[in-house]
Order: sequence, then C-alpha cells, then structure tokens
Amino acid sequence: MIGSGVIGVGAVAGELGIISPEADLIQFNQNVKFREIEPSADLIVFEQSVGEIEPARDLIRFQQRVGSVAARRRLPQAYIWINGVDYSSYTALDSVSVSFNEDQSATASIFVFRPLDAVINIPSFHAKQIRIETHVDPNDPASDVFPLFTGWIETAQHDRTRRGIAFTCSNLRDERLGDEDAGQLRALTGGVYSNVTQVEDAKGRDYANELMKTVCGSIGYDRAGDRRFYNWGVAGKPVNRTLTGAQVAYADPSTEFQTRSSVINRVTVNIDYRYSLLRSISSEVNVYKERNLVTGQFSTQFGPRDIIDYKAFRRDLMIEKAQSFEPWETLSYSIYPLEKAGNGGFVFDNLWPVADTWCQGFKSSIARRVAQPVTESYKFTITAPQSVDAYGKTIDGTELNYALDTEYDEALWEEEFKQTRKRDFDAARAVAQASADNRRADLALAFEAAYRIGKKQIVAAHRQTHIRGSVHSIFPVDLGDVCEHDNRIVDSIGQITGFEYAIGNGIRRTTIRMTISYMDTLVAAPAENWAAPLAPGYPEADLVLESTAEYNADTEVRAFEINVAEIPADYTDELEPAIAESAYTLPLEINSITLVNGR
Amino acid sequence: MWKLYTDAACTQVFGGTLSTVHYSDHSEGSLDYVFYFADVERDPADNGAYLLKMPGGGNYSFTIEDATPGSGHETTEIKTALTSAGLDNAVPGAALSIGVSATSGVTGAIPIHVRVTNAVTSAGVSVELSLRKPEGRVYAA
Repeated sequence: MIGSGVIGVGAVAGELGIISPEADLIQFNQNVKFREIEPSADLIVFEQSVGEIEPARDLIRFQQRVGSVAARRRLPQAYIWINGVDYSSYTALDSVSVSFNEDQSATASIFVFRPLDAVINIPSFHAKQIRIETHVDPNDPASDVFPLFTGWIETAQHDRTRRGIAFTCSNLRDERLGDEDAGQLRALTGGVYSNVTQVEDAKGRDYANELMKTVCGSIGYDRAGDRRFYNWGVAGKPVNRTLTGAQVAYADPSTEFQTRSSVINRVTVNIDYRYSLLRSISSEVNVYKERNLVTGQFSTQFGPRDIIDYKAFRRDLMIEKAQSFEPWETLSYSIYPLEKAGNGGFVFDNLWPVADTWCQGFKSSIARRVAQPVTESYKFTITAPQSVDAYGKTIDGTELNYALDTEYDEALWEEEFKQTRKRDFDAARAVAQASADNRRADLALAFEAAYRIGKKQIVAAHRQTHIRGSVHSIFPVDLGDVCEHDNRIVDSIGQITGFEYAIGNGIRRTTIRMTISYMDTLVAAPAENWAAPLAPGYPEADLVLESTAEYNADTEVRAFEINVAEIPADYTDELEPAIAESAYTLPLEINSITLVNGR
Repeated sequence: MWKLYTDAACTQVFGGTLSTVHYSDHSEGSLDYVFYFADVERDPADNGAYLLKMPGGGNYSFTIEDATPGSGHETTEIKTALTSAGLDNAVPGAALSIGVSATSGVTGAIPIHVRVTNAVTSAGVSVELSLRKPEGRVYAA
C-alpha cells in the first residue's frame, strides 16, 4: 500500500510515501458444492387420437319385387323417390334428365303427374330429398339398380296444362362442401390453405373453394350422394369405360380443342414478407476534463504563466447525467474522481477536502434498440416447358402477388425491453426476435399454397380439350373416371368431366364429356422441382457507434458538449434485401389423340 | 367413407339398392349376394392407415332395418354373414358384427354375404328393408 502518511491526504506521484508491508487483504473462503445436473425430460407424452365421425347410413336398400312366375311386368324406366316416397309410377318417364359437370352442382329435372282434382301442395315438395335410380337393363328386374342422381328439389312448378309438377333438382354441391369438416377435406384432397394466398379466414363453402385452388383435382358428390374427390389426369389409373365404335352414337363423337387464347404456361408469384430486425446499437460517452486544464498563457514579469481552468463538477450531477441519455439506456457508468488542483508543486484546492462530492467527469456505456422493418421479397416463376415449346412462346398468366406482415409493435423492443434487467441478453433478444419474426411458418405455407395455385392455373389451362360422345344406354359413370375412346373417329384416353343421362320416349342415353390435356410437342416432361425459396437470413443486428463529448473551456461556457451518436437511416428505415428469385418447371400430362375423318 | 363395393378389388361402388325378383310361389329360393365393405377413398395407397370403430368401443355391427315392421317384408327374410358358408347358420334378421374395427384400403375390405329369402306371397314392389351401418369413428391406425 502506498500512502502519503497523512490522514486524509493522498500520495502524489513522485513524492515520498510510506511503504506498507505485503499482507493478505482478503482470504477467500470458497465453498464449492457439487451441483448435480437434472436433465430436461418429457414427463408425459400425449398421444392424442382424434376420430372422424363416420355417419350411420343404409348400405343396402332391398328392393323386393314379388310376382307370379308367369307375370311379366313392365319395369319403370327410372325409379323416383321423393322424401322416401315412391313416385315412380307418377313420373313422366319421357322427361328424366340428369347432368353432372366438374366443379358444379349436379342437376336433374323430372315431371310428376298428379291425379285430377288432387290438391297440389307445392311447398310440401320444396327442399325434399330426391333420388333417381334405374336398372342397368331396363328389361331385367333382377339387374343391378344404380343411382342416377341424389339431391334435393330446387324448384317445383305446377304445370296446369300437363296436370302435374315439374321439378328441378340440385345436389347442392357447394352448400354441402361447406358443411364438410375442414380437416377431412384437407386430408382427402392434400390441399393447403393459407390466410396469405387465399381469402382470409374462409369458412364453410368459401373454405372448400379456397382449398381447392391449391389442388389439381375436383371434389363434389357422386350419383349416390357420396362425397367424391379425384385428381386430374389419367396417368397410372385404370380405364373405367371404353367407348368403342359400336357404342357411340352415329353422329358422335365430336371434339372441341382448346382455344389458343386460353393457354398460359408461366405464372409468376411475388411474395413480400415484412418483419422487424431487432437491432442492438451500443456506444460509449466519455465525458472528462482534466482538473488543471491549460487554456492559454499570459505574460508576467517573471515570464509567461499558464491560464488554467480548474473547474470540477458536482459528482451527483454527473451521476445523474451519466444515466440520462434517453432514449438510450445506460448499461454502466464510472466516474472520474476529482483531481487535485495545483500548479508547480503547490496545492491550493478548496474542493479537495470534500473530494467525494466532486469529480472530473464520467464514462457511460449506453445502448439503444431499434426495430428496423425488413421486407424480404421473393419472386418465383412456374413454367411448363412442354407448353412453351408447343406454343412457341412463353405465355404469362396473371401475376400472383401476396404480402404478409408480422405487425410487430416496435415499442416492445425499443422502449419496453430493458437490457440491464436481462440476465442473459442474447437469449432474451432471441426470444424477442422470434416474436418480431413470428410468421415464418405462415410464409412457408404461403410459398406452398402460391406454388400450388400457380400450378393449378397452368394445368387447368391445358385441360381444355373435350371429346363428347353419346351412348344409347344408361350405365354408371362418375366424374373423374378414366374413359377411352376407341372408335372410328377418336382414339384417346381422358378423364370424364361431365355426363348427362336422358330418359325419354324410346331414349336411354348417356352423354359423356371427356377431357384431355393435349399439346403438340416432343419436349420431354421435366421433373417437378418445387422447393420452398430460402430466406436470405438476418442482417448483422449489432452495431457500435461513436459518441463524442468535448469540454468547452470558453469562460462563458465551461461545460461539456456531448454528442450522442446519431443512428444512420440505413439502420432505421425499411430494409429491403435483394429479391430472392427461383424458377420451377412443371410437367404437364399429354394425352395423345388420333382423329380419323371417318364416316 | 366406408362403402360397399361389388368387386373384391373395390373398384365398383355398390349403387345402394339391391333389386331382387321373387315369385309368389317362392320358387326362386334364396338369393345370395356378396359385397365388400371398404374405404379406399381415404386410403388409396392401401396402407391400412385408418380404423373404423364404434365410438364407445365394442363390436361394429350392421343391422337389418324394417321401415314397416309387422307388415310386408320382415327382417327375417335377410341373412348376413362374413363367409358364404356362414349364411347357412346365420340367424335370420340378426345383426352382423365385423369385429371391433375395420381397416381402410383394399386389403382391409371385408366380404359381406347377404341372402334374401322372400316370405311374401302377394305381388308388389317393396323397398322397406335395409342393411344399415352405425355411426362410427375413424382413427389413424
């Protein structure tokens, strides 16, 4: 220890002092206890099994026909059940028609005769369930009965001239899809729903419509009224129905190739994602004035003498100032102790006896937090090279533009977050940053949904060639079935996207619209190379800036001019990293077609 | 949805109405049919990914329902069994249990044998009997 030897007076370098012998100042008694690490572990793993409701329903309705051996009954052309009541014998069997079309409600129309003078109660028929069935062989009562239509009466209109009621019916596809469980629809179709790329918070039928925007397939209800989903395309699927030359009507089939203007083979998707980068900016404010600050000289008879500014500062005021840099947060500070005033070895300091209340300045370590908005821009294209070759150019569809924002409250980071109160600042900041960037999962979902939407638009644009043929019999078909035309006019395999049943006088006809995806190209189908775009990563969030503090010795001032660092606009204004661009190729199914100019 | 199919490969969905022709002298005898109870829509890859069970546990059973009990055709005209041979000893009109669960996919299809034996002598066409499945729960296997 070195001291001046005078109580209350410190030693001055170069002056004599008293040498104190070496001794232990502190004896550390360190009691180290063994700390056993208790590892984290799952105490309970919840295996939650959620069951979907499988509704009760009739599997078989027994239609039992009893007659004498010799009797031969004429079978109805169709069975009509309205609200469980058999109207077959009242139905005009020359006017039963049923129509199914992809992504639309199926419709049916019938005419029911009513007895003369009977009371016609039209409202009693409204919205009643109707089921239309027929035999595969209208002459064989033991032949299979299959449904043509299951739905509800849409309109019931009294026809005074015919003395009956004309019904139009619908299977209420959209309404019923709206009643389906959203989770089941997602699982069944493999579709995705994103609040970013689809109508926000869609419910019911809107949800089903939005979901199906991401699925290259169609959903609806079949002839029996059961939900039916199918993927577009015929690859890998067995042929359900073949229409040979002997089956298709004489005047059929007819073909309708897609129009050139309906083709698109590239879709561009733009997605902007905005989050807040939580920056931590630090600086140091060093405020110091030496006690014996020479500010100039003046001449005396003994020669030049220094002009010295002996000013010191109130310690309490400096401490207060050291912590007063709002909006900066003072992390730590230290005080420069009072220096002794003197000149030429003489001490004349009236402050020295109360040195603890005075000081020469302070040094503050300060920090400030800025939540800088960052907008990441992603751009990707989905292109079908086969189509580009077939049509000789890239044909852009409408660009798909989406944006999502974390909507982070900047005050949480800039004002409420206090670094000095955090035991582990990095961990605390990581939590805060996660909160300011909490829609990455939504972004990933939006990427996939946007890709699927673009993909479906391109696939749908090439699925517009139709082959229509009629068969003079009634047989079960369903939307999505794979159909083959192998007849004198057309040789092709496609998918059924519409069919009609017509039963009339001497008529039992099934008309099928088959759709193919055809284009004239030899370019091989590319591999589908979808992978979600990669995020550019966080920019460097930590920043050190310089603050300055200069003592103005002007006798009128004699104070510090403190300039706390200004944060450059680059670190506060919206940051836009380079656009992340990707390109994906999409294979298209090509269904060959051979047309013969046959008779 | 679990449905009946008319083929073991489960490609042909049963239309729902089984039309049978009987004679007043019952000379046609008993008429046998076989269907396949399966859900291939939910499990197209045939992974056996789902199980159909009763909500409260227990056996999943089909029942014969009669819309007009006491007149016309009665449930005793229908026999059901899981095997063709089982039809002979099946109790007429009795429920058919398929066990505690059914497994999705073609492989999990359960054959349902049905025998229709008319007991009515008056001529007519009737749709009053049905084979009904109960409400169930579908769980991931």
